[in-house]
Amino acid sequence: MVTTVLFYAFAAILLVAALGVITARNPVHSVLFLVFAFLQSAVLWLLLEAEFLAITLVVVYVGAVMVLFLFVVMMLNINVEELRSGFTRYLPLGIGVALVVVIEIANVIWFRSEGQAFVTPTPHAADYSNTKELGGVLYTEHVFALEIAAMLLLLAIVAAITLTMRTRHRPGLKVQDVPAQVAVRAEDRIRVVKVGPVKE
Amino acid sequence: MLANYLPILIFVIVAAGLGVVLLGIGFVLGRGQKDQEKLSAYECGFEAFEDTRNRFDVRYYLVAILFILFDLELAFFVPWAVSLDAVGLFGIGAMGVFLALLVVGFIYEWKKGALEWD
Amino acid sequence: MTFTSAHLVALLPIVVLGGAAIVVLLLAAFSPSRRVTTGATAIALAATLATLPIAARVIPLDVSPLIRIDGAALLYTGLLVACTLGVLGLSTAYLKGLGESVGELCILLVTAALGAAVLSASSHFASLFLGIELVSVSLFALLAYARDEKPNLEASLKYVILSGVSSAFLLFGIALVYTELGTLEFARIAELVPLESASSVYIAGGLGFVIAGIAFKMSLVPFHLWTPDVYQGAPAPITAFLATVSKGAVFVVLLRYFMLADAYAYRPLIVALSLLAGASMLLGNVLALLQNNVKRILAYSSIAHIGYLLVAFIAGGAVAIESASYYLAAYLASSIGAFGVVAILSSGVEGETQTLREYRGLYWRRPWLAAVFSLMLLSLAGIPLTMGFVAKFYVVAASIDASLWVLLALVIVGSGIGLFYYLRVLVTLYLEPDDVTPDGARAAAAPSGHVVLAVASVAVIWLGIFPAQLIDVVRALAFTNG
Repeated sequence: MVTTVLFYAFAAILLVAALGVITARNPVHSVLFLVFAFLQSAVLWLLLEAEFLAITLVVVYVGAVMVLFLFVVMMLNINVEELRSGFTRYLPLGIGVALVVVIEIANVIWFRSEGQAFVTPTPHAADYSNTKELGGVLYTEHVFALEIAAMLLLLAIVAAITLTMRTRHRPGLKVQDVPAQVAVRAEDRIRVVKVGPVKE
Repeated sequence: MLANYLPILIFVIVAAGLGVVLLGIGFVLGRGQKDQEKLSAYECGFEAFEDTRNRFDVRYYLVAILFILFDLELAFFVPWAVSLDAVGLFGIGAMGVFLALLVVGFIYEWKKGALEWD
Repeated sequence: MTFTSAHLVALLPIVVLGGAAIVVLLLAAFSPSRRVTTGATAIALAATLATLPIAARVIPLDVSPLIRIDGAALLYTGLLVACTLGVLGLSTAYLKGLGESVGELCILLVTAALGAAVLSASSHFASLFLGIELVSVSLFALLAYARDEKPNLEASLKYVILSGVSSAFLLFGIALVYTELGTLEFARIAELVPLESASSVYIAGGLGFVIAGIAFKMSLVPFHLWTPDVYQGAPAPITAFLATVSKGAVFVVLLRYFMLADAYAYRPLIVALSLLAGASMLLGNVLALLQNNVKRILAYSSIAHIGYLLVAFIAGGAVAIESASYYLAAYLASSIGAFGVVAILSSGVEGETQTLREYRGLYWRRPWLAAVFSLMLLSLAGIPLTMGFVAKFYVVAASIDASLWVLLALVIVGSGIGLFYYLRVLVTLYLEPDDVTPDGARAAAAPSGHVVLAVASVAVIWLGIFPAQLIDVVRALAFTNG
């Protein structure tokens, strides 16, 4: 009962946030609405007892990917006026596509599920740990997928560096080497010379 | 199991409520007629010369991408840490291979100078 | 599940490729010498090919629910890794001409080959997605390799955005299929789809989205709009990679899905693929007629060729695998040859040798390259004595067997139209050079590229005259799965 109420509440907020993403005038507001939507999704996943995935969604998606979004949105000079100009022209097509999707979903939910109740997942015991269950399967049965995921992350490192690294160390360009500067000792720079008295 | 998260739910509701109340009181009780002049940006009396947004240096992007990748590595570490007794030696070996692959990536980054700021 | 040593032996090609990626990564980080890095990469890719017979002793084997190593997997892995080796040979001189470092290219080629190997052995939607992402992300960086050249950046950006969208469609389709069937394994899908309780809306919609995502990567019409622009803007050896390994790997995973998930019995999918194939053959050939840029002509012709390949594949049955595999091999060899000539002529040349004018009278300047190019064009057109002819013959035979009359008519019409633009390029090679034609000697020397072209030419002629050798290999390997 409580979970149903919570589901509807958070799903409603999710819908509002999703609408906010596409209708906000300021692109930064749009990104912040998206962050809000992800937080609601995380709570919905938590209601499905996928606690690890919910936390991962917040930590990785909101914490890293959305920060990257914000970088780009805040530092690019996006002319929102120009982007918005085709809104009313494409509105009929957009409504058409949305209608198709809604009809499909309604078809499945109302017509095809006659007599079949949606099965809610059986709630687990209080000491159930979704993370532990996930770990138990991921590192034994699906270890191949794990290693391929590691290769994918490695590939992303190489691709990011290939695409964006502009090295300062071109030949002929003088650069400061701060660690070397800090490691300088007095003996390397100063030589104390004994000078005798000046004779007239 | 979900009952464990009830304190967090209460916390979220109270925090959201507090935020809404504070902003709402200001909105409801505050006077103010806003017009175009009051809302525009102030630049010492002149019209604004240009947009406040600067071009960003791509080094920030590289740092953010590298952060995401190591954050994902962390996300893979957490279930392993929790389920270590269930996966045993095989799990340690599997995670060792995963870690080794990413350590090699880290060495590559280091040598290439991607971790230098300038 | 318990991992035995047999699993490790079966995984040997993939493990060697993974190890190769690590070794090349460390070499690229520590050693600045070009030869060491490219040499090590070439040795590693050759070693992968050498482990294929070793892995063949323990097939067929399901290693984890995600992949299934069988004869077909090893065959296609071999073809795709050989193509990667070819691209490596073509790109060394090109990069020297550009003045770029070669280390990252080697790493990215190896990871893309790893992605292709994962796709060749895939039996689960998760490994399908992981393999596609491995190849795609490698391509994101490969396409923009010369970062300061605008065409490269434009090509890479277009590919990144459209690839992201198509991956989104792919994932949504996979999610829909999972919603209905509760499993992502191809073999289990084969059992569950024909059952009465399976609701067809989710499955049809899901598989439709999956086909949309895959059709983008294979550049089938109407998902082909990125192809000419990206092919034109990309560095020439990477265009060769796009046209061969990227398309080939995705086609292989589609083939595996059809075989393992028994999708031939699912009519909507066959209808969808027939429509895509027919449109690709028509539009690919017609649009190539209007082009003046050699790379764009080859791009459109590759769209048409994937259409022909799909016709062989739609025919179904044992003939389908045989003819599709042979056609794939013919397409890969001819494409490597054709794009390889373009790559060698573009090494060290500002703006690459792209327009048809620059190829005029090539025979009088670089006779060997012109001869190879002519051979590849004849093979792509389907002229006898080449591999392309036998491949097309197989396609026609397969479609007659399966009574695909409309598609057969389109194959014939398409080949006829194709002949026009292939011959147009062919004739241009032998014309008298005029004053506007640049001097062909300005392209840099490319010894490894010539080796690659030599191997491709020999393959195209030899397997065109004696196709039985390849057919026997295909028959022995591709049918060893249960």
